Amino acid sequence: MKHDFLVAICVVLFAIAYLIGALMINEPNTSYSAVGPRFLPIFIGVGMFLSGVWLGWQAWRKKSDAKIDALEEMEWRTWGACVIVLLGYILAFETVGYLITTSVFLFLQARVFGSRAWLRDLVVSVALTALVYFFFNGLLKVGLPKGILG
Amino acid sequence: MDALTQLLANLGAGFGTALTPINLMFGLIGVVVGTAIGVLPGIGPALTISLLLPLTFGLDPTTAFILFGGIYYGAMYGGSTTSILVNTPGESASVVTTLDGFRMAKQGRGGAALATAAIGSFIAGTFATFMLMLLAPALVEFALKFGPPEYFAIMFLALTAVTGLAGESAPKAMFATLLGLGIGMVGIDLQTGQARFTFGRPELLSGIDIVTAAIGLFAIGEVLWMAGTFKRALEETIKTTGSLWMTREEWKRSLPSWARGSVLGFIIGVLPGAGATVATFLSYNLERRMSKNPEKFGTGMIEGVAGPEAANNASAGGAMVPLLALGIPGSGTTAMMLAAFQLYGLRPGPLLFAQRPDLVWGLIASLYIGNALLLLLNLPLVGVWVKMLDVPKPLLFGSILAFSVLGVYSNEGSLIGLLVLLGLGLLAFFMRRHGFPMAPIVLGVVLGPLIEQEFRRAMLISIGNPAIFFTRPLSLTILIFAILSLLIPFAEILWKRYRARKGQAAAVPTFGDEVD
Repeated sequence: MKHDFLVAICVVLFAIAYLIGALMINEPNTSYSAVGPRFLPIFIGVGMFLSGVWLGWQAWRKKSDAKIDALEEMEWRTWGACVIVLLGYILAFETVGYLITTSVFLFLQARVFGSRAWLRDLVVSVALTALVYFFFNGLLKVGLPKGILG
Repeated sequence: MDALTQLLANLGAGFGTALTPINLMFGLIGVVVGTAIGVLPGIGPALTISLLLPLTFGLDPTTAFILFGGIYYGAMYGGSTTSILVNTPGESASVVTTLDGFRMAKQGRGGAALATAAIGSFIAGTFATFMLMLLAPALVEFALKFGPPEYFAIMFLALTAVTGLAGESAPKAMFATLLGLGIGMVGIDLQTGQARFTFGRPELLSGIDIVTAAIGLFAIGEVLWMAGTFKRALEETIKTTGSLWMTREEWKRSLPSWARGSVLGFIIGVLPGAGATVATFLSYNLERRMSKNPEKFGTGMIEGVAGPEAANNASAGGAMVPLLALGIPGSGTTAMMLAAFQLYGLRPGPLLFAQRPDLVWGLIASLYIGNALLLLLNLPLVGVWVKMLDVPKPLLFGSILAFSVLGVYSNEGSLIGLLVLLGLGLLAFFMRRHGFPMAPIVLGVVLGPLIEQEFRRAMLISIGNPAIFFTRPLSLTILIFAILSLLIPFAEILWKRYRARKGQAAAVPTFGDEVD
C-alpha cells in the first residue's frame, strides 16, 4: 500500500472542497480594485490541487519500497485515549468549570500516558490546577469558567 | 551625529531599558525557561512562545519581547545538553549534535562536549547579536524604499524559501505552505467586508486566531505525536560528564569551528525560510569537509559539536534581522514573535525603529545580557538541567494539553475556539505522520493576510496591472530569488544523482526531517 497515494487523494479532495468554498465567496461587483476577495483563495485552492496531483504522480511512479513506505508504528490505543480524554475535557470545560475538569483531566491523562504513581498524580493534578486558577483568576483577572462550583 | 555615536547612544539607551529590574527579571525568566524547554525533547521555542502569548497580554511589549528573546536563545543552549547526554535531540536544531556529541559522552568526554557547545553558543550568540545591531538599522534604511510590491515580493520569497527548504518531499512542503495561507484566509476580508470560509458561523468572522492555530499545530500536534510514540523511546542517559575543562587540543580544534559556525549560522538565519535546523546541518557538513579526517566524523569529533552548536545560536540572532527590520519571519519561532507583535498592534519594520526605539534596542541589549547569563547558567549548572529529564512525562504531557486549552480559552472565550484547536491538533498529527513539515503552515497562517494586503495594495497602485511586480528593479530581483529558492529541491536531486554517478554517495545527513 502506498500511503502517499492515499494522502494525495485526500489532498486533492481537500483542495476541491477549498475551491468550492472559495467560489462561494461574494465578489462585490462595485469593487474598484482589480483583485477581489476571491482571488487569493482561488489561487491557493488551485495550488493545493496541483500539489496533490504532483504528490500522487510521485507516489504512483515510485517503485514500492517496503522500507520507505512503512510509516512509524503508533500506539493507537494510547493515542485514541488521549484524544478522547482531551475532547471530554474541552466539552465539559465551560459547563462543569475549570477547577474540576482540569484536576480530573490531568489525573486521567497521566493514566493514559502510563503513569502508575496514583497518589503523586492526584496531588500534582489538584495542586497545579489550584495554582493556575489562583494565578489566572486572582492575578491576571482572566475569568475562567466556574461551572457547577459557581 | 555620526553613525557610530548614534549606535552607541541607542545601545546605551537599550541597556538602560534592559537593566530595569522588571526587564532584567523577565530576561532571566526567559533564559531559564528557554534552557529548560530546550533540554526537554519535543518542546521547542515556537511551542513555548505560542503557549505564553495569551499570558503576556498584560506585559509591556518590551518586557514581553525580552522574555521571548531569552526563550529563543536559551532553547538553543539547552538543546545541546540532551543531544550530548541522552542521544535524543532536545531541539530539532540539535539533531546533528547527537552524532558526535553522544559519542564523546560515551568516551567520557561529555563535559568537553557540553563546554564546547556552551562556549560556542556564547561566542556565536554574541557575534550574531553584534551583527544584528549593525545590520538591522542598515536594513531599515534600505526598507524605507520599499513599497507594497517589494513587501509582497519579500514575503513571497519567505514562503517559497521555506517551501524549498522544508522536508524531503517538495509537493508536501508546497501543500503545507498553501494550507497555512488558506487557513489565514478564513474570516472577514478586510478590504471588502466579505465573509470567507465562515460557514455562517459568527465566531469565525474574525478568522482563525493565530494563537489558536499555533497552539493547535505545535502543542496539541506534538503531544498527540508523543502519545503514539513515546513508549518506545529508549533513553540511555550518560550521567558522568567527565571534566568540563577542555584540553588545549580541544580548544585549538574548537576555535575555528566556532568561528565558521557563527558566520554560517548568522547568514543562514538572515535568509528567509531557513531556520536553525538547516544551519546546523550545513555547518556539520562544512566541518566535515574542512576536516583532515572527515571519515572520523560520527565517532566523537569535537568539531561536529562546536560548529553546529555555534551555528544554531548564530542563526537565532540572524533570524531577528529580517523580523525586526522588515517584519518577515523565517522560521516557526520568529513567526510566533511576529504574531506577538501583531497582538500588541505593532508592526516591525522602519516604523518600529522610529517609534519604539526602546523596544528594539532594549531587546538587542537584553540579548547580550541573556547570552552572558546563559553561559553562566549552562556550564556550572549542567547537572541541574539534566535533572529536568526526570520530570514525569505523563504529567508533563497532560499539563501541556491543559495549558493549551487554558491559553486558547483565555484568548477566545468560546467552546468553538477549543474545538478548532483540537481539529488543528489532529490535522497537525496526521500531517506530521505523513511527512508534511509544520513550520511552513504556521508561516503561512501568519503571512497569509499580510501578503494578500500588500498584493492588493500593489494592484491598486497599478490599476490592476501585474507588471508592477516585474518593472520595479528591487521587486523583480527579490522575485527572481524567490523562483530560484523553489528550485532548491530539484538542484538537490540533480546534485545527488551527480554524486551517485561519481560513486561517492556518502551518508551526508540531509536536512528536512525536522524544521524548527
